[in-house]
Amino acid sequence: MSVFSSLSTDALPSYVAATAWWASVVILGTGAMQNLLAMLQLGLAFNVLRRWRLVPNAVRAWRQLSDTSLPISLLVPAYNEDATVVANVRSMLALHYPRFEIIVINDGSNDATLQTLIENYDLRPTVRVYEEEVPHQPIKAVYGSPNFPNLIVVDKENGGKADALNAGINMSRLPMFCVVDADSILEADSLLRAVQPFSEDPDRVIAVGGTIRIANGSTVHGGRVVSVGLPNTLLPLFQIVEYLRAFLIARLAWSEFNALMLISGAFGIFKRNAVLAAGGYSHGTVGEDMEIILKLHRYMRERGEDYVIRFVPDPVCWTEAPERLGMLGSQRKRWQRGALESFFKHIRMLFNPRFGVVGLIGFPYVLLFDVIGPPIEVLGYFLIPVSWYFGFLSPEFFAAYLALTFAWGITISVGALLLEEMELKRIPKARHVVLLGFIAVLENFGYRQINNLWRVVGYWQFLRGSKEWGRMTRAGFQQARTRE
Amino acid sequence: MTLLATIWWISVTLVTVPLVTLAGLIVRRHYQGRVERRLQERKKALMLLAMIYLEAPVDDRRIKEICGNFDLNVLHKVAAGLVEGRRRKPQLRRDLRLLRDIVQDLLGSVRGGTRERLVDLLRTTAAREICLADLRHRRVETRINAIETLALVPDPEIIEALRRMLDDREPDVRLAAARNLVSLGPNLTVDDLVGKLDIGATIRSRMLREIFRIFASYNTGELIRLLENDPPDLVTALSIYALGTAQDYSAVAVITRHARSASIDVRAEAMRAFAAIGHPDAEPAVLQGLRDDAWEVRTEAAICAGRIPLPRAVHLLRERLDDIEWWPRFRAAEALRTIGGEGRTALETARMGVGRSASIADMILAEESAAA
Repeated sequence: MSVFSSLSTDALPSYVAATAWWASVVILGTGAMQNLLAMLQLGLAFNVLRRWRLVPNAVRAWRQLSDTSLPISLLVPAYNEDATVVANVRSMLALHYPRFEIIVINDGSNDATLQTLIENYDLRPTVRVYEEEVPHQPIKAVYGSPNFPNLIVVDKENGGKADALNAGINMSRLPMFCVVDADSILEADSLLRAVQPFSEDPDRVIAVGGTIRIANGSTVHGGRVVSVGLPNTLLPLFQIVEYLRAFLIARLAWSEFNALMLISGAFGIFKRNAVLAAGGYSHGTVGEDMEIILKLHRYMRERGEDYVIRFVPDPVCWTEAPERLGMLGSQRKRWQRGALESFFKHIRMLFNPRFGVVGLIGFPYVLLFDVIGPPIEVLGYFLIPVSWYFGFLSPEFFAAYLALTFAWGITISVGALLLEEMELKRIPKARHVVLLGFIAVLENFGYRQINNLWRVVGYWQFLRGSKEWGRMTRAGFQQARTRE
Repeated sequence: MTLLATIWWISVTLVTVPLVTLAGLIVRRHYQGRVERRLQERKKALMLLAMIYLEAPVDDRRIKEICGNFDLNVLHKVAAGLVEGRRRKPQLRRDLRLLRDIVQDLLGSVRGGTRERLVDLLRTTAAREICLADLRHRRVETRINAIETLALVPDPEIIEALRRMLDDREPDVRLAAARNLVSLGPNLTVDDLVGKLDIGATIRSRMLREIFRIFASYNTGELIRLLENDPPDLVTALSIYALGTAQDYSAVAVITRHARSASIDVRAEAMRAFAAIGHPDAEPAVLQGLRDDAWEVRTEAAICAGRIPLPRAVHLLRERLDDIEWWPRFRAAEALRTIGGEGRTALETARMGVGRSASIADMILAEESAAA
């Protein structure tokens, strides 16, 4: 039978019918390509995870990995984080890692972030020799603690996250640095696990990303996630499945080909010299995490350097997901703007064989999923039903295609959950897996669509040149009750 | 079948297969959860037994007091060393694996007599037989775990088994075998290391540095001979690093020769080794390093000049204060501060001037004052 019906199109001008026909082809074709690619990634990710060698516990991680781990600086940019920064720095100080320093960069906070740190860690002004190898806003003061010699707090004028990170890189004196959000919690052995690729291939690996997981519903005590749980509300549950899909499928798959296009800004490890050579973080971007990865790819490939950017699935950093629709929308619009900024800034890599897999696989993937994907999908939400209504599209095919699209979406979301359950097993209770399975189905009916609408709004904001970061109000991690 | 029917069938299959698989995994999880809980309980009991074993000779009455109705079978066999490989029951085998894991984890946090006793516990159980069998296990981590356990209770047969693991197809297994073999004494020659580990081609891990470091702690002679034969750059760098950690003065001459290598990594490693050895014979090479084209080498040479220390390097360090690169500049300033005397005077003088050298001298002196 014919996919596109010609029954009613005779009544309309031919150019309208032709446009509708072509629009339907583009929309359906883009969707099919996205789904096929996601299926391919799922297969690749499964293959990678099957071979992945998990270190079973913290004691073994220390025994097997600590001897070969390079010293590392943890860069923690903080802007108005007075509610959480002390507990989070405490958890970082307790990380299981042979040699590390923590550099907290107070990026001109308006609240008591700096004062809270000074009081809690007995900070005193100090002098630290540094070179402004990458530009940033002026540093007002540097503080050190006699009780915690590996803690440094830099107080600087506000310049945004990228600017704060540049200041941290300049201050750092160790060969690697790890970017951690001030409101995130690193698992005690996550650094040890994450630097594994640097130890295995020290000359070629320049950046490594770890997994971000959502802590809503989990219990936190003393800056540690002590019990993993699930939130009671729908929105963070959707995000849990979404994060699983993003980290366990896309990043793992592309990492295998050295075509990883993004390391999350909440937890990434970099070789300091490589980032400095590439010029550090770019100012005036809201997607600094993606931009730095593209910049590194570009720098290395233009110079013909042999390098690797990796993703490792088991080291985990916990973060708090937005629980309100408005905040989530604002975050997604910003992510979309960030992706577009980075894409267009480095567009010359697109389909350019000189940039190898990055130009021929990674960049086209961003084009398909982040650049043309959202507007085309949203267009489809309107155009496909309209086409069906006017009879351009056969009703039977319309129904079948809709079923296929949802089926694909469900397969990929449930597939991510399968990977997690088969290989990593970090979801502690069987009933949690059941619930997430249900959510993985449900998110395809409404959540995915609203996400795409936000992304289209983000697109519009990008075209208008918006640089707003937006305000993220956090409810705070669920704290464990302690006996007095 | 029509296109439409195909699409519908694909859709149904796409939804059904992952959901059914997930359901299967959830059922498995439910079953495994119970098994896992039992295993954890068993592990706790075995941990307790291991603790009692550490404390004193095994006493049934006392164990019964603590463990209630726990099956004493395991501990009896553990204590008496009666377990024989081929006659084990599955449950006993599982217990012994658990006990092995417990001992391995505990070994990381104990020293001295307690450690010895824990190792004895491994020796008197059938852990040895289990681990020898595990060397052929299909899972890489099981093979590595077996290598690490066997290395705790070495005997000639185990050494031979570990040597065979150097031919394992998995690089991580070969590395684990090499690391444990060198830790157990002179079981390998440097040719074994270079040949079996296929250094630079399949293995570039930082674990190689650890292996070479341990090797050099009892056999610098072979490494020096290796360096005299100009091996590949990575092997040269590893050998120089190891000789540096061994602080063998007799290596200074051969390292000096490699300090003129074409490879930046080798030259920088030579400077690091000189800094570790701290012998003044390295002075000409260090002075040459301070003038090197590569900033990495100049940086290491500056560190080295401060660490030995080399007062004759002051004028070159003073020049490095104006280095175009930050790291040589910073390390030169640090070195001048460490050398003291003339070095300090050079810093004070530079501070009075202008430009990069004044700025770095000023900052390093300010940092020192703040720290005081």
